Amino acid sequence: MKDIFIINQAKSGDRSAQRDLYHAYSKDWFSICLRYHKNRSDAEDALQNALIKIFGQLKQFNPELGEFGAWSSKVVVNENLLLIKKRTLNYELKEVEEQSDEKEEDSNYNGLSAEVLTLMIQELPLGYRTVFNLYVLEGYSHKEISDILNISLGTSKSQLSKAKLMLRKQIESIMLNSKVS
Amino acid sequence: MSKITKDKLEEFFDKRIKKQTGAEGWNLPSDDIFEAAMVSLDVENKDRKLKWILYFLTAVFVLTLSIFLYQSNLNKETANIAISESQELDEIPVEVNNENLIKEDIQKDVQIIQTKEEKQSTNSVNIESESNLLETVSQNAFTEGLTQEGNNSKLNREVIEEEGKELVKLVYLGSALVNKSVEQKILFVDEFVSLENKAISFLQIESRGLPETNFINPEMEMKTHSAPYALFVQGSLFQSSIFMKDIGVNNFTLEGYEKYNSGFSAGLGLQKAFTNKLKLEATFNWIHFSNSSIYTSEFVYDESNEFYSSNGELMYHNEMELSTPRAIISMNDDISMDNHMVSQDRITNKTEVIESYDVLQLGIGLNYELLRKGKLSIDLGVSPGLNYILNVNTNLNTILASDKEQMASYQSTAENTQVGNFNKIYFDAKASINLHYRISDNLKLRISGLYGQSLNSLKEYNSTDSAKSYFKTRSLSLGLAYSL
Repeated sequence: MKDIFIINQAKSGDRSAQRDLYHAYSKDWFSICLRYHKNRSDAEDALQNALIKIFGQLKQFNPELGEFGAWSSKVVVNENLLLIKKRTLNYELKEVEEQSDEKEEDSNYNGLSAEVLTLMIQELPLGYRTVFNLYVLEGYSHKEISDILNISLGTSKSQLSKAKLMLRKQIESIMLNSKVS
Repeated sequence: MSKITKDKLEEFFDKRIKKQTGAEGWNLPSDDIFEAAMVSLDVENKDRKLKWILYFLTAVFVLTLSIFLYQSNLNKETANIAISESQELDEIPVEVNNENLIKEDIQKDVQIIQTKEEKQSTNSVNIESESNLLETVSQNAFTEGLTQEGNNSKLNREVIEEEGKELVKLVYLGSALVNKSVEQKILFVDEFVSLENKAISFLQIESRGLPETNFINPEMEMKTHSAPYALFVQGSLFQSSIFMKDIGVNNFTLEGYEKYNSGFSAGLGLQKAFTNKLKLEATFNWIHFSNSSIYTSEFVYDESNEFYSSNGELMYHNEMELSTPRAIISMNDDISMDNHMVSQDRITNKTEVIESYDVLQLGIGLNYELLRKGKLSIDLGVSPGLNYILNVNTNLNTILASDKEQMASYQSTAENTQVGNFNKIYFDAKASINLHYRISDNLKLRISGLYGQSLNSLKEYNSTDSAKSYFKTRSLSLGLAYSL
C-alpha cells in the first residue's frame, strides 16, 4: 500500500519519492546487474541505464497487472542484456557440445553467500553467464533464451551446462581450500 | 515465462542469491548512480519538450507559408477580375465622366487613400512637366493589368534605369480604358510602411498621347492589397569545425578538431520585405556535416587482458574512455592483434574520432540591402537560429602501437546510448552576404556566403570533463527566390 503511494508520487515526477523507491529496490536491481557483468563498474552503468528506463517509463507501470518489484526487475534484466549486446561488438555464443551434467550436488555448499556466488557468476564467460542468469535466476526457458539472445536451442543448453560445470569446479575449489585451511 | 525444472545446483544458486547474503553493502549501489540517472532523465525530458517546440514551430512555419501562398493567389485572382472588368469599359464612350469612371474601376481592385507626401507628388509633376499628367497607382494592380492580354491591348515592356531609379518603359497599344494608342512610362518611386503596417508601392506613370481627362488625380495614391513576399529554396556546400574551450581534461590529448570538414544542406525560406531595403527572412534547413578530432593517450600493456577467440586467435580486450568534442564515449573492444606485445610495453593509442551530424535548423534573420544596380542587388544579413540534432554517428579509427611496432588497428562505432550527455539543441548566430540577380519579374537567383557560430556548448558541462564544444560553420549557397 505504501509502495503504491510512493509509486504514484514518483510517477508524478516527485524526486523525493523516486529516491525512496531507489533506496527500497536498489539492492535487488544492483544484484541483478552485478550478475550480468564482469565488474562493478559495468554493473553500475547498467543500473544507471535501467534507472533511466524505470523512472522514464514509470507511468506505464500498472499495479493491477503485477508487482512493481517484478516489473522493475524485468526492466533491469532487459537493460543489462541491451548493454551487453551494445558493448560486445562480436556477440557470439559459440556452439559447444552438450555435456552430461548428472553429478550429485554437494550438500556442503551452504556456507557460500550470495555475494560469493555472484562473484563466481561474474567469473563466467559472457555467454555462459548470460544464459545461466536467464535460465536459473530469471526463470526463462531455453526456447525463450534462444529467442532473446538469437541463438539456437542447443547453444543455450550447452552454455548452461558449461556454466554449471565451471561453477561446480569453483565451488569444489573453495570447499577444498576451506577444508585445507 | 514458462515453468522450468531446476536441478539441485540451480535451485541452490536461485535460493541463495535471492537471499542476498554477503558482506554489508556488497550489493548496495551508490546514490551517485541515482543522481546521474536523474540528470540524464531530466535531459531526456528537456529534449522531448524542445522537440515538441520544434515540431510546433515547424507547423507554424508551414501554416504561415500556406496562408501567404493562399493570400497571394487570392490577390492575383482579385486583380485579374478587376482587370477583366476594366477591359469591359472599352465599349464605353471615353468623353463622358472618364475621370470618375477610371477611379471607380481602380477602386474595385485597390483601396485609394489620400497622399501624405504631397510634396513628392508635386515634385514629380514639375519634373515630368512635359508629360500630360502623372498618376500613381498600385504596382501590383497595374503590373497585373499590364500582363493581361486584353482584347485590344498589346504591350511591350522594357526595364531601364534613369537617375538611380529603376524605370519600366511601357509601350501600351490599345488601352483598357480608352480606345487609343498611348505610350506610358512607369517610375518605381519607393515603398514605405503605412500606419497599418502594410507595404505600399508607388508607380509614377508618364503617359503620352492621351487627353488629360482620362487620368486620375496625381495626388491619389493606391494602397496595395498584398505585401511583398518571396519564397526561396537553396542548397549549400557546408563546412564546419569545432572549437573547444576550457579543455582541462585528465589523461588525454585532443587535437585536430579545429579542422574544417565538408558537408551540405538544403532548405527553403520565406522573405517579407518591410521596405525595399529591409527584409525579414524565416529559413528551414536540413544540414549534414561532420567534424574530426584525434585523441592520443598511452597505456601499459596488460597481459591479463589477453584471451583466445573461439577460432584460436589471440585477442586483447581494450577499454578506453574518450572525451570527444561531443561527449565522453566509453569503448570496450575485443581486438585482434597484429603483433604480440609483452607486459609493461608502453602502447600509444591514437584514435581518430569522426562525428557526423544531421541537423534541422530554423532561422529568423534580417537582411539589409546595401546596393542595387540594374538586375543585381547585394544585401547583408544576420540571423539567430535554433538547431536540433536529429542524428549523430561516431566512427573511430584506432591504431595501437609501441615505439617498435604496431599492435593493432581497428575501426569501431559508438552508439548514442554509449555516450555521455550532450545537447541535442543548440542556438547559433550567422552573418551572411547575399547576391541577387533578377532573372525575370518574379524569379531571382540568390548566391549567399555565410559564417556562423553556435552560442551554447554542444557538450553538457559536468565536473569530470569541463571541455565545452562549439561549432563554427561557413557555407556557400545557391538558390532561387520567387516573389509571391
